Amino acid sequence: MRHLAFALITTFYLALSHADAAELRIAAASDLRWVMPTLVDEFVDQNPDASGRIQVVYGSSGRLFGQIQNGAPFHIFFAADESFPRALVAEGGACGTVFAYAQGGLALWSRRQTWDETVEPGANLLNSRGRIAIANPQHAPYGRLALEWLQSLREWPDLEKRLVYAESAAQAAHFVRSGSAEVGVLAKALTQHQEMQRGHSRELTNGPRVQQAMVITRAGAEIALAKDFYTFITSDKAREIFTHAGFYSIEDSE
Amino acid sequence: MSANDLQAVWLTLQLAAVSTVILLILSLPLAWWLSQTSSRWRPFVEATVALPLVLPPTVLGFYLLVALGPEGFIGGSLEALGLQHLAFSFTGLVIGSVIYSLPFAVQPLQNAFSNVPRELLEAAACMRARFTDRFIHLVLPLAKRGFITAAVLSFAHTIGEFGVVLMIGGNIPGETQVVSIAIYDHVEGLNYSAANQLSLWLLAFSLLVLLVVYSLNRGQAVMKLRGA
Repeated sequence: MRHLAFALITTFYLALSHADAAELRIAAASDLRWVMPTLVDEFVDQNPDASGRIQVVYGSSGRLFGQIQNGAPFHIFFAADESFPRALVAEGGACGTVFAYAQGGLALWSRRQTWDETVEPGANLLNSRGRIAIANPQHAPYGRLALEWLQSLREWPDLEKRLVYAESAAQAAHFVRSGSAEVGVLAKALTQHQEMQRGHSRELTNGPRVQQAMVITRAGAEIALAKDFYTFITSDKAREIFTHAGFYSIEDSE
Repeated sequence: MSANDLQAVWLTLQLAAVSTVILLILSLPLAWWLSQTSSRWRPFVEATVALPLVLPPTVLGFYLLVALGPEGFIGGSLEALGLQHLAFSFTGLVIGSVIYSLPFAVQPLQNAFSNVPRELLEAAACMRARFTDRFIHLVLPLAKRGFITAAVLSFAHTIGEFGVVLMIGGNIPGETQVVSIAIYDHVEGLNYSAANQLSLWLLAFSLLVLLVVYSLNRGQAVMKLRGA
């Protein structure tokens, strides 16, 4: 009996003790995996008391959107596509202004195969071998972008059967980085990741781009740190970090 | 190991410990009833308990997310009472793990209870031992191995859980990011060395657990009648 009481008390204690939540929880599209830590570091440099109070959770924009809709405790939502924050505002999951912080483009990447820059990227893909990894077009904006681009190619009918779909932009990068897929049509920003340096990439300069945007969610409306971070992202310094990390700035297109 | 990984390990151990205790408490009456009853409902209950063995974790996770979230009937009722809904929370994970690991607690216990010789119980009853006496002094000691197996398997199975936690957890460090999710996150972040380190720990741990279970069960035949 004493053992049972002990077990129950321990259980109760354990169930309580986990609650040590960070104050600002950011949900970020997975193409931001490489740039987000730099942004957070810079923000903490500017606001030393924010140190250790920010947490970033990554996922595909669609999945994060669904989780926020279902009450996930995220305070700022950085999507890879402005349609998601706009939809969140439209149905009351967020109340702030949607801010477009950068534009993302695509790049071809392969670990072993090189790209002949004298021919069209479509011909590059046709000449390549093996599986082509892209993110899932249903819920990952970069997957949709990559699919649109592929479908616009003359070579599309021959490429279609070679596609494999990853959960998110970052997982598509992982598929090619690990070698399980030979080539990938990836978020350009991810191909600048340190881990992706030992490979061959070709930027699709004239390819489609996606407008990336963020919004403060309903859960983050009362959080001062969320507003500060939001303001920081609108600053010139943040824009510089995005550009340095392989994003296009919003002005480029206008 | 990074602070974040240690946090994930600690969270996983908490989740497994809490789920195991709850599972043992729930399974005890259920397994006893299943081992003794000749009710025609028995196959139905047994099948329900065994469902998580065959059901994809995504199905269970999906239903749980729908039920526990702010729109669902459980989460919604809680919200109506002014409480928090349970999706993306530690409590939600515990509920998911308990359902998901239920067969791993019930089945070893049920087997152990069925192996308690009926004659012993009847003899004890003839000596006017009440049900609680019989249960505490005969059934529990004889079913000890069943308890250990149930506890070890539930604990280990919760640690190895991935699909359900991914669906209802939301990958929040310190709250719902367990080791298996942390590994997934490291792989997606191309952080292979960290993924490798955590995976090796998990591999070693799982092997150890199975070794314990199998060495315990080796002597099972001895456990028949040993003067009560």
